[in-house]
Amino acid sequence: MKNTVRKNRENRGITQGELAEELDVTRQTVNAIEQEKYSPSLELAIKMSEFFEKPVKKLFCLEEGEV
Amino acid sequence: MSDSSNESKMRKVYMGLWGLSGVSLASLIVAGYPLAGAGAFVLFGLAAMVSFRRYDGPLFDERDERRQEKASKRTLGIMGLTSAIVFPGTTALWGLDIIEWPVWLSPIAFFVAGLTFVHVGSMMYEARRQE
Repeated sequence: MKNTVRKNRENRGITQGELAEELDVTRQTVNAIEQEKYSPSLELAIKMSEFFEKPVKKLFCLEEGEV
Repeated sequence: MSDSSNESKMRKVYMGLWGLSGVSLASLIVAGYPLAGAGAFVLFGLAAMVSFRRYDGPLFDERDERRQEKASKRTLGIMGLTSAIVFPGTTALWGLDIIEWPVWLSPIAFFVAGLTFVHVGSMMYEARRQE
């Protein structure tokens, strides 16, 4: 799954640690999501969507073959 | 020290303490000091829980849960496949009088049966909960 989390976080000017704290997850999880090594749960995706004030579809999209 | 390296360090400390508790329990039992083993297990376990409690922020999260789910699924799969080969195979060889039923295999068979029972029960509970 592709995502724009890093871009959105950098636009906000916050660190991975700060985002992790906001979302109540570890910094390693934020890092893994940004590197597209981990797809978050629906709950976490919604939390991110609320935090960045963007729809989930603007943050995450399925890659070809995942559809 | 940055927050991220602290998080990583604390995760290692927590897991290391639980590892130490298990190793000390096993090694002290083997050495003939079961009471000391139980004491060491409790002490290291408590130390692990204290380190977990004292850390400001989450040390583990949904990614760890997902990892654990995948590892558990794989472990059960390997165990199931191994059991499906070893137990009927050994029973057949025993039935054909080719081998003696290995005494050490019985407790393992009971353990596997117990684990399967718990797994099926757990699945039924989850199915019921999601109805």
